[in-house]
This record gives sequence, structure tokens and C-alpha cells, in this order.
Amino acid sequence: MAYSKKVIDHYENPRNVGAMDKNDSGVGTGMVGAPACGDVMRLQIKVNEQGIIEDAKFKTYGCGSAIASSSLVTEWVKGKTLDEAMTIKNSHIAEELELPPVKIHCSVLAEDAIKAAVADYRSKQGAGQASQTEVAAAQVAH
Amino acid sequence: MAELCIQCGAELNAPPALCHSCGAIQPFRAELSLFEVVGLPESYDLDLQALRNQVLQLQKSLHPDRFAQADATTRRSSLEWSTRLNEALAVLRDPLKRADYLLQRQGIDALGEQVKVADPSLLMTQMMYRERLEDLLAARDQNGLDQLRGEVEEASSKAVNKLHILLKKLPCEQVDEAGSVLRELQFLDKLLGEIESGEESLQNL
Repeated sequence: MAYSKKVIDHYENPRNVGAMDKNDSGVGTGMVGAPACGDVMRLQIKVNEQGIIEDAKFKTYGCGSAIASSSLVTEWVKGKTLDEAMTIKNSHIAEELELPPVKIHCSVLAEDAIKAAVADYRSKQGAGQASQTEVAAAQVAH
Repeated sequence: MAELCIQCGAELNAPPALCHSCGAIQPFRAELSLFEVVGLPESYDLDLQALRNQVLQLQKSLHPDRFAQADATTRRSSLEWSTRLNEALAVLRDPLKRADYLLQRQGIDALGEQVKVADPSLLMTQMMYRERLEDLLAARDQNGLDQLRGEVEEASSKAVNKLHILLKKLPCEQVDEAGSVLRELQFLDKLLGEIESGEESLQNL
């Protein structure tokens, strides 16, 4: 099976490889894995106060298509709102990278990873708000 | 109802590829399980030496080389049985493939391409192993690699032990748990492969 030029480009020059502090409340982390090929993917987003994704990083251990899919997603989500990021579909990734049918699951993994990262960020924010409400409630009680 | 030998009419014993009375090769039966083909009881706790002996012995009698002069039907039966025996050996001797096969017999595809893992602790551990491997290879740290390999092998054998417990009684009742242990073992297997190819590439430098 031959990889497309775009896959090879992302594989040889992956964009945004790295890690962010997953304990940072402004960072959302998504981790997914595919046992069939043993791939593991971590995708992280840094979200600013306006709800825009300022930065994205990924680390993927897997085949070229999995690396290219996650690399591409980090490029795509920068500057997007969380809702916009949630509209990314594996079919867009597969189309852009010209993935053959046997590699479609790699693009599915990347879609799952960005969704998981957004969900993680949102749950952190939700939890933060809840605790602020609790603090406020506690202050009222006193 | 017992199957009868196509040649002498004797009742066929397990394994059913050959008649135990007259030695005639029987028509291939695709519906038989891999355990039935090798004539061993369906179980995760398989005697690997017995498996090897069975396959070796059957291959001696069934191998297509022995039937080069036989009629087309016999040649074909021999080829089909022989191919299936090789498959049985490859699947049943491997703790991962054997467990997967047993779950598949229950209609569960724990390692299918569509199956994804969301268990954070499993993924975190795998990610840490991978990062460690990458660092060790970059540092060309042979001792560190040996240690990592030891840890991964230990984690694998723990997973296999869990499968022995979960698959002790068949059909397995805790299929979700068995599936998740199987997926963990699959990740560890792939990781061991990566460690080995990494070690080889260090030695070839």
C-alpha cells in the first residue's frame, strides 16, 4: 500500500508534536487507542478565555496514517472555537489525506481524540464553575 | 450421531481427519473448531506440548506430499486438513490469539478494527511505555531497554494469568472484562514488538 504525498509530508514533518500540562485548567487532553494496530494517540488543546483553541499538540505512536491524521487535526483546530472543532469528521481527514479504506480507522481515531480533548476541557471548566458556585453558596451560608 | 469413515464405515474418533481403523483420510469438515481439528478439549488452559505433538503427528499422516499420487478428492482433503492444522497450531499456541478465538466462538470480537479503547489508565500506561521506549532508544540505553522489556513481559504474563481465570469456565461469563484484558495484552504484544525492533536497530548501528 502506498501512502499519499500528504500523509508522507505529515509523517516526515509532523506538525505540533509535543505535550502540554494536562493539569492546566486551560488544557484539554484526549487519549484514544486502537487495539487492532496497537496505536495510542494523545491530542491536547489550549483554549483561551474567548473559547478559541490557541494551540494544539499531539503525540501518536502508530502507523503513518495515524500520525498524519492527528498532525492534520492539530493544524485544523488552531484558531477554531470548541464547537467548530467538534464538527471535524473523520471523513474530512480521510479525504484530505487520501487515506485508503484500510486506513480509515486512523482518521476515526483522530476524530475521537479531538472530541475527547474538547470533552476533557469542558468537564474541567464545568467542574471549576461548580466549585466556584459551591464557594459562593458557602459564603452566603455564613 | 457419530461420523463414519468413508472407506471402512468405522466410527470416527477425535481427531476426525483420519480413520483410526483403516487410516483413510476423511473429507474436510470446515465446521469443526480448531480444537476439534487437533482433537483436544476446548479450553484456554491448553497443554501446549500435547498440541504440538498432535499437530506434528497428524501432519505426518495428512501432509499433501504423501498424497501426490492420490486422486484429486483425496489430494484436496489432505491440503485442506493440513492448512487448517497449521492455522490451529498458530492460533492455539498463542495466549492472545487463543483467547481471542475462544471469545470469537461466543460471538465477541474484542480486537476488531472498529473496537476502540477509552480506558484512561490503560492508555496512560501505554503512552508512558512508548515515551520511555523512545527516550531509551534515543539514549541508546541497552540496560534501560532490558528493564523495560522485563516490565512489559511481566505485565503480559499478568494479563495472561487474568485470562486464565476469566476463561476457566466456558462459555466465558465476564466477556467485557475478558475483552478489556485481551485488548491490554494486544497493546503489550505490539509494544514488545516495538522494543524488539528498536533493540535490533540499535545493534545494527
